[in-house]
Amino acid sequence: MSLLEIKGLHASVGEKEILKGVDLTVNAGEVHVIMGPNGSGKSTLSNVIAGHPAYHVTAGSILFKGKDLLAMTPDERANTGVFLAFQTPTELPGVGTALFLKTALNAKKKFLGEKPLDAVQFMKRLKTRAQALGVTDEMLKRAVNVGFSGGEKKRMETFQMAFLEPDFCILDEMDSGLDIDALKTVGDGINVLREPHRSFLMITHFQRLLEYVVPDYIHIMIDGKIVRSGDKTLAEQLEERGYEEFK
Amino acid sequence: MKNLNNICFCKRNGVYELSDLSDFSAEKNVQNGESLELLFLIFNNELNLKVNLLDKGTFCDIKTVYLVAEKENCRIKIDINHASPETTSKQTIKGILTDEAQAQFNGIIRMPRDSQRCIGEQNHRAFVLSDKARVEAVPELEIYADDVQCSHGSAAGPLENQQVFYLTARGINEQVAKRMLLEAFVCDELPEVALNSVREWLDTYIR
Repeated sequence: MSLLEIKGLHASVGEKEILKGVDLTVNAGEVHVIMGPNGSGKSTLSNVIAGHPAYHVTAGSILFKGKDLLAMTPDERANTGVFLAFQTPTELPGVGTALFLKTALNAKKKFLGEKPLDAVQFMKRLKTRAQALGVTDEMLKRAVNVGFSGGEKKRMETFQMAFLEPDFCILDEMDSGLDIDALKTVGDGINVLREPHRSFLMITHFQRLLEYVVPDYIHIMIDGKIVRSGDKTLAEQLEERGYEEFK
Repeated sequence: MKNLNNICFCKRNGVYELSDLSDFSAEKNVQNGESLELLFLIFNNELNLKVNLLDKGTFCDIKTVYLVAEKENCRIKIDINHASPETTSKQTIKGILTDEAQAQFNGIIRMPRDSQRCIGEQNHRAFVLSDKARVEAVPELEIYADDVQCSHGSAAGPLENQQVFYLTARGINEQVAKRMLLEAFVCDELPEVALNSVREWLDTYIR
């Protein structure tokens, strides 16, 4: 059974149809990349998988671990194992980062019928994962994403991913706005999480993140459809010649 | 109807202490370089406060949090009179309205011709959580002096979908997510002693 199976997916924002029949299958342990020009529907696809209420699925299906993902609320999807690392992480003034992470983790535990972590277990898990990704105590004390630089926000998204241990990670333009050092930190953070049971879907414009995280498959999305799929050499081809020949 | 009491705090030596409820309808004079820092937590009823900043260097900081539900109607009037040059005032008003509740906020800042080099700031923000709740904000700036700084802002509307989505996308259910955002919004301003009644209100009306 595939981890994620998307068939004939059509989705709209308001009256405008953005996804026009997407098919995509991701097996456990695979890293997939979706590349495409601006406005081709890449971010829409990630938002639709995560369940953003502004997007409406008009046709098609998404199965995740064999279950109907589209019938689930966003929190149910997250607790079943979907994680969206946001392109622009939202600032939540007044909501402390540590409290936010504890609430999220214990929501997942409850959903899975497991016991919530007590304060000591939580702090231990928090510190270990934070250290590994260069997330400082000071960052954990701030409100979620408030006053964070672009690089810190992306590091925090990667950290949340490591902390919540999802099975399917969608990384929406993780490389945008990052300098080389920050890109490497985020890339390393992703590589550490690669496991036989965990898959990744990376949305990107550029090849540079792929120098750090080597994908199994690359898909090119144009005008709401995947028009070509291949291995990592497809990205090199794209870098040289652009999207024109795929249109 | 939940029976929660209005609370007034006055800051002394950097600490908010419970103050007399008569401050809900009062005229206060601030003089001799002193400052006045008041905080009102309102569940019902009216606030009608006038502050006169009488000499140079005086300062007032008025914070107001209103939480209204059911058919409650809350009226807030804060009138700051910069009667002397070089005085400073700050008003922060935050509200949450649900059910069929209503609120009117009227914030007045007066800077007469001779009151130069004054600073006045007023900020009102409210979350309106139901279609039938209404909030009306009327700022009035009566500025006759020309060398002053005065700013005001008001915003009212529902919770931001993107913030709710961010929390739900991390596995937190929508109800808890909204509650977290609202609690963060108001509790930011409040001292520890006020938090219990705020949480009680949120438990009752944010379901």
